[in-house]
This record gives sequence, C-alpha cells and structure tokens, in this order.
Amino acid sequence: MTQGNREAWGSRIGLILAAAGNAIGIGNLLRFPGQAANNGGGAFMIPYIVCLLIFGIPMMWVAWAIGRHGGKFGHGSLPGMFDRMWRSPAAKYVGVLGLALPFCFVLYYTYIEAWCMGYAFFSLTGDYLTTPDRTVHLTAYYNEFLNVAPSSSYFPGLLAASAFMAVTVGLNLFVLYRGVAKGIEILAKIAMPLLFLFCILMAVRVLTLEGEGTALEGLNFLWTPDFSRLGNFGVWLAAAGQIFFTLSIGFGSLECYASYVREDDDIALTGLTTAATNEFVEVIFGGMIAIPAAAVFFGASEIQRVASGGMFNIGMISMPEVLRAFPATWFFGTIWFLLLFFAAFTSSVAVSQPVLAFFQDELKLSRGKGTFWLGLLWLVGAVPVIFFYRYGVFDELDFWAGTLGLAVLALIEVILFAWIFGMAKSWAELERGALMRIPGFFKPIILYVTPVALAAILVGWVYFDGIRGGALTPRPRVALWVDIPGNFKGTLESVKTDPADAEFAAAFVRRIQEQATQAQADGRINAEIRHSADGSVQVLEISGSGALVTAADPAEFERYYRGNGLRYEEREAPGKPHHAVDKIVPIVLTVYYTRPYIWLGRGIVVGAGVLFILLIALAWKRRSAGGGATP
Amino acid sequence: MTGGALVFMALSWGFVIALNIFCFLRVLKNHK
Repeated sequence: MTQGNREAWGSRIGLILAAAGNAIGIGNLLRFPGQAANNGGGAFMIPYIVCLLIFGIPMMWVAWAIGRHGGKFGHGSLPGMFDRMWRSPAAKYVGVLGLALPFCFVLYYTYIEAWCMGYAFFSLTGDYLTTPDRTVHLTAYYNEFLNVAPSSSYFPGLLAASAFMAVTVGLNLFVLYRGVAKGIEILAKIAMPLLFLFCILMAVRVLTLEGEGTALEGLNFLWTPDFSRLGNFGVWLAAAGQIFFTLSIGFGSLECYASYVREDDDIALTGLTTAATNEFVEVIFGGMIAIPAAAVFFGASEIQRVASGGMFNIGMISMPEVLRAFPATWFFGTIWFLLLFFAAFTSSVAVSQPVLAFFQDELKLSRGKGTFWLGLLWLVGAVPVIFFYRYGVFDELDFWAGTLGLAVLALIEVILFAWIFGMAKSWAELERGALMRIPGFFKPIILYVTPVALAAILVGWVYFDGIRGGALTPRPRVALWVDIPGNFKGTLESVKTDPADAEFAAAFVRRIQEQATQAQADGRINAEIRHSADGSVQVLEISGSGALVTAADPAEFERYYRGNGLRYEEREAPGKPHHAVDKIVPIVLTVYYTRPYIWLGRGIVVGAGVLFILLIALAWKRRSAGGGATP
Repeated sequence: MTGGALVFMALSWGFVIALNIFCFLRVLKNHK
C-alpha cells in the first residue's frame, strides 16, 4: 500500500536494480582497487568485511526501514521521515541534511559523470590518440579539459566540459521527470545489465592483454596480504570509508527509494541483496580491471605509483593510456568510459531523487514543476563547480557534503532509529514483510557497535583529512605544467633527485603559497628550460607575473625544478624505452589563490542548508494552516 | 600469483559470491 497518489516501484527486481545502481558508482571500479592496494592488499579485506558487517549492512537496513516507514505517511525525504520517528519540532529541521547534502553532492558528482561521458565520446572519435602529427599527453589532456593547466593544446577552454555537464544534467532531469517506475526503474533495467556486460568485456580485455607485465602480476599486487598494516588505524579508517561510500550510506537516497516500497513489502532481503550486488561489482570487477591493466602496460614495478595516484588518475589517465596502446581503442575506450558513466548515472539520479520527492511530497509541486526547480538550482550550483574547479570548489563540496556530512547524517539516523524511535519498534518495522530472518545479533550491533563505529569514522575524518590533511585550512594551489604540451612528442618523467634539492623545492612551494596569500592574488612564472641528455637542467629565460613577480629568480627556480626531479624524455618509436634528450621546454608554474573560492564552496553548502530549512518551514506552515499539525 | 594472494582473492570472491547466491535464490523464490 502506498499513501494517496504517491508512486510505487513496478517490480522487486526493478527496485533491487535501481537500489544497486544507486550504490554502484565509479568508486567501485576506481576507488576500491586503489584503497585495497595501498592499505595492505589482500589483508585489507579483513577490516573491509568487518566494517561491512558492523555498520555497512546494518546501516542499509536502518536506511530502508526509515524510508519505508516515512513512505507509509507520504514522505520521500528525511525531514518528513524524521518528523514521523521523533516527535520533536526540531526533527524535520535535522532532516535538512537529507536534502542539502545530496544536493551539494550531485553538483560535483555529475561533473565527474560528465567527464566520463566526454571521455567516452573522445574514445569513440579517437581524440586522445597520439598520431604522427599530434602528441597527446594524457595528464595534460585531463588538466586542460578541466582548465587546471590552460595551455590550449587540446581544449581551448571549458566549453567541452561545460557542454558535457549540460547534457549530463539534462539526462538526469529527464529520467527524474519520467518518475520512479517509468524513469528510474527503466533506467536501472537498461543500465545495470549493460554495466555488468561492460564489466565482463573490460575484464576479459584486460586479462588477455600482453605488455611489459601481465594481468596476473596486477592481481598478485592487489591481493598479496600485508598483515603488518592491520595494526594501523589509518587502514581501518580507509576500509570503513570505502564501505561507507560504496553503499551510499548517509545520502538519504536509499531512504527515498524505500519510501516507494509498499507498507508490507520486504525490505530486509531487498536491502541485503542491494549490498550484495554492490559488493560483487566492487570486489570482483573492481579488482580485475584497473590495477591488472596498469600492470600489463606499466609493468609490475610501476603499479604502486599508479595505485597511489588517486582514483581519477587511475580512471582518466592510466586506463586510457593502457587502452590506446592496444588495438580497438575506439571500442574498449568507449566501453570503459560508458561503464563509468552508467555507474555514475544511476547513482546521481538516486541522490537527486530525495530533493525532487521533497518538492512533490512536502511542497506539493507537480513532478514537472519540481523537476524544473531542481534543474534550475542544479545548473546554478554547477557553475562554480565547473568554472572554479582549479580553485578547489569541487574538493570543498566533496569534503563537507561528500565526506563529513555523510558520517554526521548516518550517525544521526542510527541514533534516531535505535534510541529515539526505539529498538523494539524499529526492529518490528524492519521485520515486517521480511523474506529472510534477520539474525538477532544485529540488534546489539545496531544499538551499540554501529553508532560507535560511525562516531570513530567521523572523528577519524575530522582529524586525518580535516586537521592533518589540511582540508580545514586550505592553502593556495600550485600547478606545474608544460606550456603547449602538444608541441612535444616527449614527456617529463620523474627521476630520483637530491634530497636537499627536494627539500628546497618544498620550501619554495610554501614560499610562493605565502606570497599568493599575502598578495591575495594568483601568480605565474614562465620559464624556458633547457633539458640536457645527461639529465641536467638550465633556466634560459624566466619571468613572473601577479603574485609571483619577485619569485622569478633563475637560480632559485632552477633548483626548485631540479628538486622536482623532472627530466625530458622521448622514445624513438612506440614500445621502445624512453631516453633523455636535449630539448628546450617552456614551463609554467601557477599558484592559485583559493581562499575566496573555498569560502564560496562552504557558502554553497551552508546556503543549500538555509534554503532547504526555509522550504521545510514553509511546507509545515502550510500544512498547519491547512488543518493538520503534521502531514 | 603467490599463495597468499590467491587465498585472499579466493576467500573474498567466495564471500561475495556466496552472499549473492543466498540473496538472489531467496529473491527468485519469492518472485511475484
């Protein structure tokens, strides 16, 4: 039964596919292998499975139960759901996190989705292939696409990135406008089988490649257990974080999907099946594609560098580098990026749905009007994410809305579920209509272990990412690149450098960051650097502008550059080893003064919160004027 | 592959495959 004319899922399998699509995102294929490789290999699976059992699966059930309970009363978003579980006037306002966080999340997540769509297109057209007339350096290509290094070899500006973002947002809005059964469910029924098919195609492709190394060496690297890492709190925090992100806990999206489940339909088995499907894609396919591919192309000795480069480095730079070295790049490159795109698409639709549900359920807007307002807010919010990406707006939203905020919301949910609504009522809610018996030991886990685990994650993130990682006190960003990289067929390769020079380089970076902070402006150094075949470098010309007018000292810059350990290398033909050659290369060092943009990012999160608080107040005021204290 | 890597990969895969078999058999049994 659903209330009034609220929508409902067409079938259980459609619901499972949609909810699995919500959970399965690009993190399954890119984040998991990097995290596992850097945190103990096979031994990483011990904290990973422990975290899955003590808070991953319990939080899935908590979310599904909160959602179906709210849906019974016509609520598809957390303000109304919390209001039904906690008889306090504050409850609905606490639920604002379930609107502001997913809204801020989709602003930057759809940008990643747009990159994947863009790269699928570039794969199809062969845009990032190196030809005799045009050399494409994939790091520069990626940085130019996002305007971090605007040197105009590949992209004249942000036009391509903006266009793909507009198309991506449009597609999301189209699916949302079609509704739950005719939009989201149909998307899941098309996208999820394709996602599995693409995973299989990519895995077979990678496992049959032959290059500098073998795919087995990659699997060996990923799965070899290093038990000495298990005593490290950071490894446990990494495992907890991976479980958290991979299951989409703390977004309010699972709750929203569950609100369209009929009152007596199962949520226990459905929730567990969603988690199981997600784990299948993550543990099996996540481990079988990116890292083994890197092993084939770069060789066993280089896998560590690739794995520790971060998920975008693996997905957007290393994978195309591997795929373009083998035949049929247009096919496998397109498949790879479409795989990432579909994984992201089904997630972004899910995370946007709570906001649309709020517009429909609480503000009583039609689906068309709700989609219009959501689209308007989305496009306005996406502008700073795209245009100030290099100033850190993207990362700021990721830290507050996509990391810390999620842990806060998940902690609130489990406390509300187990302690405020009460374990007896909550357990009965969870078990109603259940197609499986939930083991009784999950009761004390949800009551005690899950809240403590979530609190530990929150404290860990505040300390490691916020305080020690510097996310709370951001510094100006420094970028170093080759100007017009398309003019050079070689690349700058990292080589070992003198530790004293490396220390000088780090101090030099700190100094120019301070200069940018004092000047409250960006700065730039342009230098012509002669790279010699013996590995030495010499600054021929140098000039500074903006905050770095006085920093353009040839001797200092030369030592800084040596400290970076960069050497210009070319290879005579594909497949031949690199070797250093004589070359004069124009280098640009830019410092971006980020402070105003960091505050802009924080302002977006706070602004979204304030806007939704006002809308919640308006909705409940209208209701009480209409004759009922609560809906 | 080393024995340790093989064992951990097999155990991890075994765990997720078993979890999926458990879930989907029940879903199919109750399919309507």
